[in-house]
Amino acid sequence: MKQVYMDHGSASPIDARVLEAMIPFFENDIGNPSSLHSQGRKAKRELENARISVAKLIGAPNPKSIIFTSCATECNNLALRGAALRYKDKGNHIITTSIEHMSVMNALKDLQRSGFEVTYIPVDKDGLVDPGQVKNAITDKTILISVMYANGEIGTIQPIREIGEIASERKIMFHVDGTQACGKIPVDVEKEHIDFLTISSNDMGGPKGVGALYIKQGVRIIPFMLGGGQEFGMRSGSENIPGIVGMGKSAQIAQEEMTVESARLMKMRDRLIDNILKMEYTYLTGHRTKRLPNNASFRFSFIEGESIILQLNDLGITASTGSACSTKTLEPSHVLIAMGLRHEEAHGSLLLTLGRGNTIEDIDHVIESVPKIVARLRELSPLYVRK
Amino acid sequence: MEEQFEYSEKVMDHFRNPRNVGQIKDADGIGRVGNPVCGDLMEIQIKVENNVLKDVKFKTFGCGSAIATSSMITEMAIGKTLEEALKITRGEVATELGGLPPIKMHCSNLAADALHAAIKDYMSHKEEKEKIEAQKYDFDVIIVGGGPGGLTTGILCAYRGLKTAIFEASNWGGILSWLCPNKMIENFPGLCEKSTCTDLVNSWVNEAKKLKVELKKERVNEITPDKKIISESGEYKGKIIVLATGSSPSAGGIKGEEKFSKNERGVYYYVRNPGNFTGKRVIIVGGGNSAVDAALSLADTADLITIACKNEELRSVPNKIERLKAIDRVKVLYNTEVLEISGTDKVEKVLMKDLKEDENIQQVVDSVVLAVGLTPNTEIFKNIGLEMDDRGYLKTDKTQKTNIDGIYAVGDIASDLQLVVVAVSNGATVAHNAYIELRKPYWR
Repeated sequence: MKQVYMDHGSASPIDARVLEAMIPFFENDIGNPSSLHSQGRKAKRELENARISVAKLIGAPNPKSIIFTSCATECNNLALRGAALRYKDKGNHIITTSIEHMSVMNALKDLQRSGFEVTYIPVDKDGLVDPGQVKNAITDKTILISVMYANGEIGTIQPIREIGEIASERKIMFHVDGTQACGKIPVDVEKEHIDFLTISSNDMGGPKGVGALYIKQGVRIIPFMLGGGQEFGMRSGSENIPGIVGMGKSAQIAQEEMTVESARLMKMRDRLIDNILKMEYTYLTGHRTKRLPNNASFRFSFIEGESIILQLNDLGITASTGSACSTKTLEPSHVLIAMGLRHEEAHGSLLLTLGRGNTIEDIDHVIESVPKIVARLRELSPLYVRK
Repeated sequence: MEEQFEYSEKVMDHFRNPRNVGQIKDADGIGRVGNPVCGDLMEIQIKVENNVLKDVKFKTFGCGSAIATSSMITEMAIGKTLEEALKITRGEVATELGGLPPIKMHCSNLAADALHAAIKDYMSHKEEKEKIEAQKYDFDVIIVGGGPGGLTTGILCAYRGLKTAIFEASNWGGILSWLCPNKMIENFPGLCEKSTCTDLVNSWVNEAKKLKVELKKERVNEITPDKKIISESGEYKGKIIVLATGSSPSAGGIKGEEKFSKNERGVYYYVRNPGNFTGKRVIIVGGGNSAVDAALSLADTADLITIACKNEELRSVPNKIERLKAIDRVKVLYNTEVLEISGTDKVEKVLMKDLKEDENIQQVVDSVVLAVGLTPNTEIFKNIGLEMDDRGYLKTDKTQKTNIDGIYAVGDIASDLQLVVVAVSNGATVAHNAYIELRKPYWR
């Protein structure tokens, strides 16, 4: 049976060129960048090359502003907690949105417990944040604004530049969770007035277990990994050289191929969206155009996401859902709820995230399969009445 | 690809090939349950026959385990009684499926709840239906005839909580009230020599009133096989009809009988008031209990009493025959048949034949009492198709049911014993079976 992987938002296969670049650092080039011998110096060089590649990808003028970590979740924690605690004397107010990743949500919840106040800006039905509302939420106690660049569940890309300008004007630090955006769409920390940017390796074709946090030069944080003072003292611990090399390589490939690859993905994405939306009681979630090139997310009335996923799985298609039934907490996706969907509407969500490996044949297989499954499940549903 | 869900093979089988999906036309019960936490919704429809789940179908809005548990419970429930099905638990459904991931145990395992809801829905509907059904009927039991059989059947049905009516065209008590109102009860254990027929009838009427039996003094003109009664005041529908029309004294079939049988011209069928016979010469035709009773009742008033009996001996209880022999004015002619009654305006004489000697005898008389037996009043039932024997008695089974479903018969129309005690026992039998038929108690 034809196998189609369309859950790149959850995990992506590593690019073969990236893997190739990494392999020597598992076998022969095993030096520690802190060591003075030639092996060590080679590792150090590759580390700095990776830093340059990542910096270039996001328009950071100084590679030293890139701190390698273990994952995007660590980056979000490091930025938010590190900055909030560092500047708590200036104020205790943080602004964020209601659709952030759990690593932002829970890090901020923890800060709330230690006395910080957090304002959650709502989103509209397309999942868009209104910069005006961010502006209005600012008080003289506001020290930090955190907004994700793009949401992986619904694909909506936020007006980062406008929010950045507001933050910059009011001298408020601006953290952007760029996990889903970096490597897929152009990101420029200078033009967008970003102070902290979270970058994920796996989400741009790099290995898992690596992330990078951009910290604008001059901005300080309190680190929470203390030790040998690696990564400019911001994140101690021996560097994961193979991972970092992989991330550097994937950043480099992403930068070089972004225009072509994103055009290819968008073409497939739009074919998917246009065809799936031909079905009755079927809706797109997220903004139609301000949207990640690889994201096609839907909701189907009267049926449930886990059932859709299981049935698609039987047809060789791997996908994802925001349905409550698919979560550990049995809560529906907070993103879908924040967009104003009712529980039962969020129930029927299907998320297809494309990647480098997908072809137009994959798209057509999905376009052919989804209606069959939806029809089948609707036959089982007590809510469905044929139009 | 590796299976990435923690569902058992059986769960996946029921999810992939759900059993009994859909809806039931004219379902007897529908159960709909939803989980407010995750938004699952299940609907189960049931068809019930004789308290057994004949069919169970489902529709479910929910995840894999929600669909699998729904499918599973339909398989588990079909063929079970409602009581058994109500005992199926969520845990049992999960076990049948080879277990569910712990997180799904409470969320998506609502099938048992939906089934129970459907059964409860059915039960509440059933009660409602029964109420509506009850309203379509005027009575549970309609009894035609207010004699001993009718009154006592009415009392015993009402005692069991059945809504009962008795229709009587003439007098409550039937034959007891017009044939022998003052006769002492002799063969009803417990009442012997204690009360008269009228006393007994009055007791029955009072008991019936106390038990809210509707006593309708109306002639029933028609009984239809679909258990409708058309009386003088209108139509009444009963779930069960009990016929209790009793019996009447038989005609003698004697030449001249008809000429004198009306307007006190000398031919009678029973002795209502012995005083009317004071000083009269009376001939009683017949040799059974009625004839002996008639003779005994006239002992103090009539001048001369002759019994013309066709057989060689009287057919009555020994005690009565002894009493009869002790009365001088009574003469019994055995082997004697009355051939003709004659007279100008009133009865003057009878012509008899001694069957043994083969010779005719003429006797001068003032009155003739024809006590030749009782005939069941069943003539009117012939046209609705009730089966009867050649003597006119309705055929009944041991529950007193006739050949037509829902129509019963008690008393003299069903038993040639023609005894009050038999009519009362018939009433008890009918009340018991009517209760079972209408209320369908658990013990039957």
